[in-house]
Order: sequence, then structure tokens, then C-alpha cells
Amino acid sequence: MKFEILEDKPNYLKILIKDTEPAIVNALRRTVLAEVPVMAIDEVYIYENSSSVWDEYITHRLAMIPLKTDMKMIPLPLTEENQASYSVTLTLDVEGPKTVYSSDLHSSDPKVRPTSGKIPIVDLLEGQRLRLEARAVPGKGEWHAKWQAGLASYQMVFKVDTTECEDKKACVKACPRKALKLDGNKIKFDELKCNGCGACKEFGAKVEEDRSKYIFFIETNGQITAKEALNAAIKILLAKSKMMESEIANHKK
Amino acid sequence: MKFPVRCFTCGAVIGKDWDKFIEKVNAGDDPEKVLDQLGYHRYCCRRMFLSHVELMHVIAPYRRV
Repeated sequence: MKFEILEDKPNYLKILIKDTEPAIVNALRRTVLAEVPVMAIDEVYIYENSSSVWDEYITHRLAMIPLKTDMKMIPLPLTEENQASYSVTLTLDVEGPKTVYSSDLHSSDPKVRPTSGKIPIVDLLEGQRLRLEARAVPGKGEWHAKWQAGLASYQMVFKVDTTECEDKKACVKACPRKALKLDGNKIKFDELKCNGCGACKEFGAKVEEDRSKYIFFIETNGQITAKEALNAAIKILLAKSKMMESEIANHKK
Repeated sequence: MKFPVRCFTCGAVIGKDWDKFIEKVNAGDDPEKVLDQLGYHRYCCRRMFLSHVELMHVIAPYRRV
């Protein structure tokens, strides 16, 4: 298996995975979605809420706010039993008239803080007050979407054979994604641009799925970087495989 | 009520850009271009911005029962 990085931004990673098969790429995707742990608010103690909306409405909005996560602090493998062994308390005390933003949350650990301070939570008018204490714990996307590290998906790569094309100019012109390029008497093919629509088939080209290559991308919500998410997913997959190996080795008849 | 923190469909964090978006749109900018600038390329996130009606200020003076 070979990785080729196509795009590398803090919260976005696009890679071309070669010499692989769909099962492995899909395992990676599912691990990023459901298993990579991140922090999120799980319990809220509301001391005073004289705003116009319900406690539950505020609590739900607080939970959806992504918190910067330090992966080293999270116990692995994460289970519902050891989940609460690492927790961070965030406090909020705002008096109106004011709009409450995520920047009003004060964390007990400076490493765990909202990724953006500009997320509006609720509007307060004169005389209204919101005072609460929230507890953030690590969790998995499998349990609740607030703990999902981000999006991950993959797409197929195609092989296009244009050797039997008679009218090469027309064939190149037919491609809506400009994956084909005329280079002298030959046609150059860019596999990253092709989505397998088959518009070039009319002119004699052969389009085939390449089942050994996949374009894979991760887009995180800011809690961890895309590279951290990929690393964590690989580590979790390895740990699971090892656990299975030792289970089989220790099995007695 | 208030603009959602996350996109209903994909879960991307959109709440952080609402103030910027509504400020520019109220100033007369084209919502399509503002969304492109903010980097929202999926149509699930774009419809969250385009279809939102802010009603928080309408219910704010009332007490919940």
C-alpha cells in the first residue's frame, strides 16, 4: 500500500491510496467516522437560566461546539467505563443584554477550548442571565455525532484506454471534466480528474474501474488535524487487529 | 431561533460564519459569492445559510412556560 498526498491543509487531507482494495479503504473510512475519539460537552449543570429558551436547547447547542482535543490525554482503547477518567470543566456566566458566544466558555484546561469563539449560543435581553458549568469528556462518533472527528470518504479511480480512438480531437473534446489532453498524436489521461462518466466511449475509448487505487479524503471539524485523525484511525485499526490475534492465540479448546 | 451550530446533513461547523454571512448579505453582497468566499462548497451547508430565518429576537422578550 502506497500513499500519495494530493492536498494537505490543517483540517483537510486528500490522498491517493495505491495497491489496495476497497475493503481496507472502507475500514479506514469507518474508523475515522466512528472510532477516532475527540472531546465534547456531555454534562451541563445549569444554575441560572432566565433566557427565553429551554435548558435542553442551550445544552444541545453547547454539545455541538467542537473542542480542541489533545490526543495524548485520551485513554485508549476508549470505552464507556474509562471515558470519564479524563474530563475538563467549562464555565459560563453571562448577563444580558448580550449575545452569548462560544468564546464566553472558560475552560479549566487551556488546551481544551472551543475551536472557534464566534459560535452564537443564545441571545440575552436586559435582566436575563445564563450561568452554567459543563463537563467535557472524550467519546466516539459511534456513540453520538458530537464526538465525530470529521468526514471521511473515498472515490473510485478509472482507467481509460484511448488507443482505439479514431477521431482523437472529438474524443478529447467530449470529456466534460477535461481529463483527456491531446499531446501530439497521443492522448494524455489524468486519472485524478476522471469520474468515469463514459462520454469518451462514443469515440472508441474503453473505460474501466481501477480497483487498486482510491482517492481518500478526511475533513475534520477542527478538534484535531486531519493528519492526527488519519494516524489515530490507523493506530486503532492496528490495535484491534492485534487484539484479535492474541484472542485467537490464547484460545483453549 | 438561533442559527444552528452544525449542518444538519454533514455535521460541519457552520455557526461560526453566520455573523460574517448575514453582515455581508445585509450590505448587499450576493449570497452565492459570500458562501464561496467562506468556503462552503457542499449544498447541504449552503442551504443552511440561505434558508435560515432568524427568530431569536422575536421570542427573546417572552418567558418560557
